[in-house]
Amino acid sequence: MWNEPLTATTRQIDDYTIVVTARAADGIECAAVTCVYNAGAGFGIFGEMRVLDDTGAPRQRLRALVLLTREALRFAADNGITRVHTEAPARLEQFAAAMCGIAPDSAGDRRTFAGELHAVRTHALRVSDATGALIGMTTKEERALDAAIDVLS
Amino acid sequence: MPQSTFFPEGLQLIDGVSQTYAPAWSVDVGGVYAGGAKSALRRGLARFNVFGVASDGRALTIADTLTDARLLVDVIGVAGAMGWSASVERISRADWDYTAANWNIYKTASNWTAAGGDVATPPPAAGFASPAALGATTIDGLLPFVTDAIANRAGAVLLRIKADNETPGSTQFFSIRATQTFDTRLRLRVTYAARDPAPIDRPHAGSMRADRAAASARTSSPTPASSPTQPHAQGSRTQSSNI
Repeated sequence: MWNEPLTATTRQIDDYTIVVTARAADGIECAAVTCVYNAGAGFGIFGEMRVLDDTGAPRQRLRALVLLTREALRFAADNGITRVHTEAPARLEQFAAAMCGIAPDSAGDRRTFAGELHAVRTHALRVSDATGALIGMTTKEERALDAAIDVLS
Repeated sequence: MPQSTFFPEGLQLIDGVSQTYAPAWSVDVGGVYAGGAKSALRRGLARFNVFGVASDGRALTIADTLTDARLLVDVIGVAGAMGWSASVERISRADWDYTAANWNIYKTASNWTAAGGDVATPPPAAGFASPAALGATTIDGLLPFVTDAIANRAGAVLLRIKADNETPGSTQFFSIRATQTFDTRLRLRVTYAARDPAPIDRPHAGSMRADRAAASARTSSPTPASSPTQPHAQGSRTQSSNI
């Protein structure tokens, strides 16, 4: 189990790439995601989230991923991004849809989510809180998400 | 000069990372380094028929003299650096099936000779710089492709769009809208200089100017119905004026 609270921070890799990392209170890196963007064009791509430490409880893992999403969207909003895009594997469709509030386009094993940042971020802030907890999610839904996220670890 | 605009008969993106992923909702070009399964190497494929129905203007004919051809695109995504080199090439598989193809196959159960799409010359590849912003822009220099399609391929313009450097080491990517509204869909616009075809109800008619001159002469100085130059037209117009 990770030490609480979990927090997410952004590290700039180059002019077009960031890594958002969720850390436990003792500094352990719990999860991370690479995002690429172009501020001039106002466009960003949310990359693959990875759970980096396998000692987290299932619901902590879910909260870590929520924090990654919220922090990436904050960075996007602060840097002039207006459109965001991500492609999720089918098993993470439910999580991605819950976080961004968009019905995906579906092809093969991928689900594409694309939309205006303001709409996506508004939805993400509405359905989650600053600790990474998803608001209003039933236990059954939460377990389903936990199961999907475990695959990444 | 007159222009004709054509929507694609079919298009898709193909992906060198997720090689069975080949949707048709956008035409993506370049590479994305976003971790594991989220990384991508994309090429765009599109097919137009310039002898087919035009969305604006008319179908082209072999008699047309073409002066310009370009893709009109709506860029919906740019990630990474801008202005990198990309190329448009001619797909050499005339039976490429955009409903079944992906990185490995060009139609069901038939592999591309080289994964990622077979291309050939002529015409030579047309280079362009990747777009720097979202919104409407053009990819120019496609006149040789349309000329070749009219002369040799029954009007079929088959295009593959790819980055020149597909292993840049960092994200270089753009995405073109392939669906949505009329004004923003990918389309091919051809400018040409050509005499309009003769009206379908007067296939042997001369020029419009000669017709107007003859009509004017008839109005000011009626000629006998047996005039050898306009035997049928004269009779019908006289009848019409009486009504």
